[in-house]
Amino acid sequence: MMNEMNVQIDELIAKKLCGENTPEDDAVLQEWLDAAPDNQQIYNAHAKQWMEVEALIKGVEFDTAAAWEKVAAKTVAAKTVAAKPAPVRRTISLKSVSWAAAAILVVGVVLYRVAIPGYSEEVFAENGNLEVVLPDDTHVTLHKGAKLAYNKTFTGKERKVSLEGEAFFKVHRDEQHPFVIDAQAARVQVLGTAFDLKCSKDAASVAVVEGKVKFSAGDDKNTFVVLTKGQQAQLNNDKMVSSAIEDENFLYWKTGIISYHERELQAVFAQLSEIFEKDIVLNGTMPADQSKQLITVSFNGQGLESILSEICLVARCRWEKGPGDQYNISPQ
Amino acid sequence: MHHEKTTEVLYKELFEREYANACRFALSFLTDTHMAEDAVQDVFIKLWEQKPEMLSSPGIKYYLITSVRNKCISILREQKSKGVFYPENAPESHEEHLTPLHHKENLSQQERKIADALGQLPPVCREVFLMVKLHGLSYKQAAEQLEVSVKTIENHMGKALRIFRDYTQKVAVVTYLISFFKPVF
Repeated sequence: MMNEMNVQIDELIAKKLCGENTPEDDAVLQEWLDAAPDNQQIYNAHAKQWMEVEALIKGVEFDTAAAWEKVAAKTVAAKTVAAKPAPVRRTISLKSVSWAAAAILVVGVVLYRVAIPGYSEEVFAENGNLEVVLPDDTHVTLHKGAKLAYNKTFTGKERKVSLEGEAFFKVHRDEQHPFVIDAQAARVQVLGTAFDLKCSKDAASVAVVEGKVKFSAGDDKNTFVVLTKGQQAQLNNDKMVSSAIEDENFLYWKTGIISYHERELQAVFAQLSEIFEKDIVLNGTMPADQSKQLITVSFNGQGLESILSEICLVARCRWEKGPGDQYNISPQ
Repeated sequence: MHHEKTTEVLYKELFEREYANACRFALSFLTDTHMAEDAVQDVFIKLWEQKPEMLSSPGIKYYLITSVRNKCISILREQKSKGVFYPENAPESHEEHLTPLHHKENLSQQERKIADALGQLPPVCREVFLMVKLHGLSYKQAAEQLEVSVKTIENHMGKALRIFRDYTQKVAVVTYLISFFKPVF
């Protein structure tokens, strides 16, 4: 009996504290308050506790302004500036930063040297990207799997190095001593510049970020091209083709940044498939105007699934993981 | 053109008014503030893309609350299917007294406080309490949202009151214990 009464009083107090009280409720509550001198104190204590819990709950802060910027970029802003959509920028997360730091540590430990004829030093980026600073203060970032050989001190007219695989070079300017890279199928000569160079036994490509690069076929001194900022060239079985750099993500392996400016959805998926080495399959039911829609977006250090989710949100499709590690994309 | 502008203004106003509360609400289901924020942002984006006409409707707030709730539940289902399972998140469970927040290791003091306070409430009771106190819904509106009677809402709110009473009486002891154990961990 007493318990039941308490339950009813609790409900009445709650109602009053929420402004839900009716005149009948007030009458019953008043009766209770008058019944014992302590009851007013009990009521007051309840009211205080209630407010404290409410304050605790409302005390968790969220940055509405920052969230609005993110949401607006995908909604209001995306709609009004359709011709020039604002790219969605993401900062690299703390987690991936520490992951990267760990990777660098690991790579640092496994760095080993093997003498190559003509060079005193060799570095091999076995487990991940590797930064190397050469004696002339040239900075080289080796892509995972790449090998670079050089001499501890550069002597003679040329600064000579040898590369296998892919690397980004930021060459210290020294016009008296050209920097020459023996890049398997190709030969690259520069004075001071920054560029990405990728080579194998029978193919090579270079993309220039700043300065000038002379790119020539390995043993054929007459087949060469001089490239400047924003240009690229491919060498394939001694055939050379140069063009403007179209793929803005050629440095993804180094920067972790992927960005698309008005790129067709299907082309975006094709490249993501290449970068992440996973099959991404567009469902046949997707209409052409959807698969060819232009996407503008950028990512920094995100994983494939998070990237797919974001693109799907913009492109109104959805992804699911299919058999054999494959990703299937279908209309929403 | 004029209509367009109005929709945008309404959208922004709704966002500024409800975002933080919606996140706090989502936080009563989900494991951390980032998840809660992502869920709420998704709901807002979908609202813009799929139901912009709702923006001028007086029911928009309820629509939002329900959407956040559904979004959270679907996230929990997804986690469950991936093997991440917090039994106490299940809104249909009436027994658990911990929020998922308690599973996170590095709770900020603020997060711990809300987790503790809300964690005292059974899930449905918690949801009712948040609808009323956080979103400012009347008993009747909350009853309509949850498709229960007003009397049920009264029960839940009375229960919340009672549980908070016990919680605040315990909290002084708990705070003391936490400060005592902190150097050890």
